[in-house]
Amino acid sequence: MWDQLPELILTQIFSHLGHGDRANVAQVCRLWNRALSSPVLWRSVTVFIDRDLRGDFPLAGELTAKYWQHIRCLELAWSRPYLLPREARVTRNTQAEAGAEFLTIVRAKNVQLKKLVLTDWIFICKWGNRGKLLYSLASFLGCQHNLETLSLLNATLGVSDVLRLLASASKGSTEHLAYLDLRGAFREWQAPHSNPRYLRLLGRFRALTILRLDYPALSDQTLNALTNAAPRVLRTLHVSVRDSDSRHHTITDTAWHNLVLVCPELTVSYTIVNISHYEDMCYFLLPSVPLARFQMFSGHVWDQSRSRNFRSTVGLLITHYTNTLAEVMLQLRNNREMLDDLLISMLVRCKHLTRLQYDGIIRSLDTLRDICQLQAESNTRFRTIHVKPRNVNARNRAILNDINYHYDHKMMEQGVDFRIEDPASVLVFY
Amino acid sequence: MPNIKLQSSDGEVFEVDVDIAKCSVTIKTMLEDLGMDEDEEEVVPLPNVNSAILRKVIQWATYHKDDPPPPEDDENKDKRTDDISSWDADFLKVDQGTLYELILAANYLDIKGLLEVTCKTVANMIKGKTPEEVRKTFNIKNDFSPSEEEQVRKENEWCEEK
Repeated sequence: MWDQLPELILTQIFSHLGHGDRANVAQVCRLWNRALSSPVLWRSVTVFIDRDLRGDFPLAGELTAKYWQHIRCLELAWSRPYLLPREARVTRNTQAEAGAEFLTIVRAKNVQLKKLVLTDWIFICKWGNRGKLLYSLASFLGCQHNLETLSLLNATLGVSDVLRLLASASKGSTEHLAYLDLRGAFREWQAPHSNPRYLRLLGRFRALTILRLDYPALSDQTLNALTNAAPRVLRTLHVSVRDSDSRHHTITDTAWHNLVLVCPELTVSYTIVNISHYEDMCYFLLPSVPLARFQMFSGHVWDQSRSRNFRSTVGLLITHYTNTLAEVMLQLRNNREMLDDLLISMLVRCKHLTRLQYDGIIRSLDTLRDICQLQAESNTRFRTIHVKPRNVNARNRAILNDINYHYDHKMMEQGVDFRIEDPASVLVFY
Repeated sequence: MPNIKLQSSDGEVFEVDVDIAKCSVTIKTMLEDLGMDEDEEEVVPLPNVNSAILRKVIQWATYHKDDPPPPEDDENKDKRTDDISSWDADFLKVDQGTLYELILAANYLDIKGLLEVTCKTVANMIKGKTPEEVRKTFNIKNDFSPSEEEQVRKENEWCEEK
């Protein structure tokens, strides 16, 4: 019975198995063994350098020999990125060595990838074979001619290491590379934004449509490099801003303006973590930024004496980005300021808004009523309105019930998924 | 809602809501290609599915009729197998013969979601087992010759020790 399943179905079953289980399956019977060599199963492979390359008979050798011609997407990761320093020295050394060997084999087989992802390469201290691993990686990248996606998410490498990898990538794949993710690629507190080599390299990727980076990698020079070398196809620029990033250097509105002139279809996303004061925020909320997505995780606030002045931030969002803003997420944690009127104003004025998630305090439940009324009169066109109230007293509970009663039917007529839930605190529209 | 009649291999006829029947791509294209009119009293023969299995399939399709369509891109397909919903897990607490028939039926009727969840269930049955245990579980005969077996074993030594 089971040894007569069509190969296509077996392939689908095997697609849910990891390396170890696949090895066992190969030994079950001839049909299963044959089904395992289906290219589909090996298109996309994740290798944990510290887990999959161990032993006298490393995974790399045989896997490469048998299936690597099928691989198009490779993710190289560390299953335990954080190790105790003492443990790290010894084991990381041998692991890095194995990783380097693995990459050498893959390179020798002339594997051509479309996508290379490095995840969680936490290299805190310098150790012997780390350089060897990075060297093999660089030479492997240099031989890639079809690479479309390169992600160094949380690679935490030094500036020179990242730049060497980018230089290698730019040798082979400038024509194709469309997606570059540099978030967390550079070690913390290192700001490559004015490094001439970095700027030159960025300019080489002419097919770039999506670029994601941290604020320390963004500057007037970066924007100018993008403008001049002009990947005119650039559509998405995602910027993560953390802590006090924006105090170290500022970016001018002119630089943004020039970039937008060259790339008219560009949209920008900001993800803001751990800063919440308006005085930090206003540096990068410049009028020429084609801001489409704004996410703010306000995080811990050490200085409670200052007002965080959310009102000004949200006000700026509304005035500057009326025509571009599509998604807004505000995670405010116990804002003391009243934002009700600004939320309404945002809904009324930002016509392209498709999603608003607000996690914070609403002063009056009439605001919620107003929001429902806007939707009922088709001033907004959300498909989901989801309210999760927290800390609701009896009087407000009655108001909520009244709103629910009043609008439930109208929302249903419009096909809106309308829910007012019990405790929790998020308000979602989309 | 208009209904449609489906006939299993052993002759039993099931009357099903058209929208539910259409979660099978095979039936959907059959209706479109053959121009079968929905109000006609036509019976769709399904010679590859017996009545016990067809009943199960209809039960599954009825429960999942409002599911959003599965995402198209296979590139980023999730390899997780621990995300089987509790309803599906209960639904698939069946003997191996039924599970096998369900997979074949899902494949023949081209019901992506059912095929996916049944395959995940089988994958879960394979996970963590040695080749011998897998053979025992699924009652599969080892058809390798001793020399072949040695060869295959060697080739796959790379992940013996985990």
